[in-house]
Amino acid sequence: MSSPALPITSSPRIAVRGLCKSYPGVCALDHVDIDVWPGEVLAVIGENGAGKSTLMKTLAGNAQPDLGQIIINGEPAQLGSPADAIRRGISLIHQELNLSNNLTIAENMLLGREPNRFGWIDRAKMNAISRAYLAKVGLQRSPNTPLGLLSVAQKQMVEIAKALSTRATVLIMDEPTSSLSQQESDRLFLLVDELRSDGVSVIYISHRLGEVLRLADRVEVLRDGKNAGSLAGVAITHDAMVRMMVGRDPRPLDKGEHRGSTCTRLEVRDLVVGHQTSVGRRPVSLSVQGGEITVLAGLIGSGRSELLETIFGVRSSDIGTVCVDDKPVPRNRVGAAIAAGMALVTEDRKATGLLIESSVRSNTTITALNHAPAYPFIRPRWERQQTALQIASLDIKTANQLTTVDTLSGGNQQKIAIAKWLVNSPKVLLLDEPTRGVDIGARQEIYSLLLKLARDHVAILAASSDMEEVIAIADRVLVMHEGQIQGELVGEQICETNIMQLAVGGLIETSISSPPLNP
Amino acid sequence: MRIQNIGIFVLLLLIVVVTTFIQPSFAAPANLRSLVRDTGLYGLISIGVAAVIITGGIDLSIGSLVALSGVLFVQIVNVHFVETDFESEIIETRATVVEPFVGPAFRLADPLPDFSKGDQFTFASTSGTSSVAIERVVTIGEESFIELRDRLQLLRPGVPVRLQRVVSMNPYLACGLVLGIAASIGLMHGLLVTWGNLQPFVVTLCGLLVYRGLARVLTGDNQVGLLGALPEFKARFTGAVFELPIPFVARLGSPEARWSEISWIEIPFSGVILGVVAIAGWIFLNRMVWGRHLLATGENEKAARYSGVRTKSLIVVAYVVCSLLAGLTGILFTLELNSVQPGSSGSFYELYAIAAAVLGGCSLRGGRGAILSVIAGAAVMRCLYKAIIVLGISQEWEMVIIGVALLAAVSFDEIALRWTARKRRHSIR
Repeated sequence: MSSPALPITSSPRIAVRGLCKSYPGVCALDHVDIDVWPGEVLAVIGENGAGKSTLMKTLAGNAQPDLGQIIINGEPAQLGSPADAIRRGISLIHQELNLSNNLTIAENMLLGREPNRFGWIDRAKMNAISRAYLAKVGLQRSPNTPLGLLSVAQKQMVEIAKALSTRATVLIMDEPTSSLSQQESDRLFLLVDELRSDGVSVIYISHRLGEVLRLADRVEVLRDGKNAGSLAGVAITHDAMVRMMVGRDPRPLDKGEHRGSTCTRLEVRDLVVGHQTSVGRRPVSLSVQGGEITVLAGLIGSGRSELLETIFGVRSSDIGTVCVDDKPVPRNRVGAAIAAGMALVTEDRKATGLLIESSVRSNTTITALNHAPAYPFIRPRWERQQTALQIASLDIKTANQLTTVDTLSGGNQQKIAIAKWLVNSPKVLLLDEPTRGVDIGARQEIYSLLLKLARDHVAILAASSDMEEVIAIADRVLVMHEGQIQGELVGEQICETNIMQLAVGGLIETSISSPPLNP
Repeated sequence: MRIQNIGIFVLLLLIVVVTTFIQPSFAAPANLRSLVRDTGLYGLISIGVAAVIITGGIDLSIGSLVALSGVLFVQIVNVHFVETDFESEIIETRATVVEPFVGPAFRLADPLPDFSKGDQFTFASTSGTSSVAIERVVTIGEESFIELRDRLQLLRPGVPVRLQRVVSMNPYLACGLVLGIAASIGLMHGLLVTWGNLQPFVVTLCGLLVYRGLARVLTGDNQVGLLGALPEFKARFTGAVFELPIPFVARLGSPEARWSEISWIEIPFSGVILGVVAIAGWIFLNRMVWGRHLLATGENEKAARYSGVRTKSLIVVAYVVCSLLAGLTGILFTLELNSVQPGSSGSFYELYAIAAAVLGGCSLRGGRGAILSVIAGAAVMRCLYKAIIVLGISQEWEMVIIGVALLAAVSFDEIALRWTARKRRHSIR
């Protein structure tokens, strides 16, 4: 851990004192105190709903506190708008990138502050300014490149360069690595190190404790909108952070004895993934047994989501077969896949997983309506009972069945995204990033749920980028690389090194170079 | 029902009460009957467009399709007259009206062969050959007297007349054909929107232009009508189907009446069919799997597709229903008004329908809508229109008032929504 390059001054750059903020139904911040010193990386961690996002929104001028003070460089400050915050040197790097794909890099960076001469934009100057800051963040692209051509990681670099160009002294990064690959994340970490040595303060929000360990000088833990403790230097350990976030000691997941039965429930033969030009169109085969949790690991863009979507039939493909319990499933029809007993919990709850403005009830029953009694009519009593059953068995925290899903926490939303398939009692459960944006408590519950389903002989195929998750739940790991299954890991072989080795296209000795699909 | 939708029913009640208070004749049975009729006609297209709006789409072609279906109906029915051999002359004219006659009566030299309503006599007049439709024949003793539909037409004894028979296609068959064409138009819209991946606004904007244009081309831009033919068919689909007893309005309408008096309001066919469509729509949307899937598709098409909903088919169905109801409304309007003006009939109807749907709580982003409130929305529009007439406000103000009322209603909804949200927040604190 590199130490701050600038001497720590006697007063913090930002001092937050007794900050309170309520939203309908929740007290998001309850007398929170936080200090941010020059040239440090302060990690703010906590479960979903702990108040991290609200705190950051308040600091970035996107939300007004109900009570409390924000003191910037010794002066109490009113941050009425993001412009106010930027003027005082605070920039938020958004989780959902706030850039326009139709504009060039330079236009995005200087949006609203274009250097001009009598109203005419001075392009040369604009490009010169952007080039300087792009160099600083190490992005080698012309300022004239349309932003749409950049990868997510590169866009993030542009956001950071944009923040630096406003002479930001405090950068707030909200889950910056959530859509980055391992290498891209590593590059970002180097950039954060560099910013720190330049005296910039970075407030780093992440669910990934490994990153926090790697980067943070200090850690501030929030729980239920309150300060739950802070850690500094060598005191920052994985267990200490988890203990503070959850308020109790982390419970290791008990995988139980091997549950794999001998029957193959999902069999994919020579399936060519649909709409995939970049990664080529070579066929993929795999099989999953009942009671087995198989995890698809790999880097971002290795084709895991595409494979799951093709198996499920939501992404069309003409070549290959998918069988559930030895019966071929008609291709490219989601309805047929559901009827055959398949289910897909998608990666993005808001875009594809849930009807976010609809009620808990209509989300829970939507996939089961086609096979419900009284079809094509909906029997209200059946609907209420099924929903109540799922709420109870998954311990979903909701005021009632008619609550709209967008008011629930990420963990409860994810539980509903899974529950909507359980109403059908699926035979094969496909999950894409089953715990993305889910806090630790709910994450454990989801893992237990998957284990319980496996015990009921459901075949589970999950794609995950979270290494801890892969190791925690997998009976078997299939590592993907460029749309292909690069290798298979079982039991003791499942470890981070082996997975990374295969993910980048290498081979490992213990694995057979062309893995048999049914050992 | 959502709380925020109650606003539209309150608004409807408010308009009715205030207008009746100022001008009691608003509550007269005849006025109420025409209100029901108009709400029926406009309500049908409003429900149609609501189906499309729920999917997140829009249909701008409704007004033009109303005109085109009217024109098509008239042209397919194709009312025309065929000469017969029957020639005779008037031998007696009774100008003064005596029981059992209701107008002037005429006697012919020769016995009239079998005829059907709408058949007509042609005769020479100052302006060339004129024609007049036969209304009925009354036999008194040995003598048959003929009454004409045009009671002002006095034919003098000695005028030679010639019988022409009215010929038309079976109107039910014509209805079926027109509805079939309307449904195919909807199918085309739906396919272009889903599989063609075109924007609904653009597709139906083109429809607006094309169908209006076709209506004008088919008619040479001339008014067309049913020429008084098919009286029974017309009576069935414009006349009262049953009467509904309503208390108090008699007293409201005239101070002489007692409060206990009950008025019988005739419910015309359009009101009945609206009722049927509304009930079917309500069941579809609230109690059927497809209705739920339609709402899901409108809220988030992708998520719905990932949940196994056949989103494209549902969207196509919504457009078919919308165009089908527009076609039906076009036929009903034609029967009601007897004629179609291809250049202007149905103009702006799509906007009235969209306004009613929005008043009824449909979100133009899709995913939200309720049938009953959409009907209330249509009723509000018609009541405002009637109120303007009854209160003697000059017609130029019509659009201004309806526009302002719409804006007020939508703003009120928004304010109510924020107010309840704030109240909820305070109660939690």
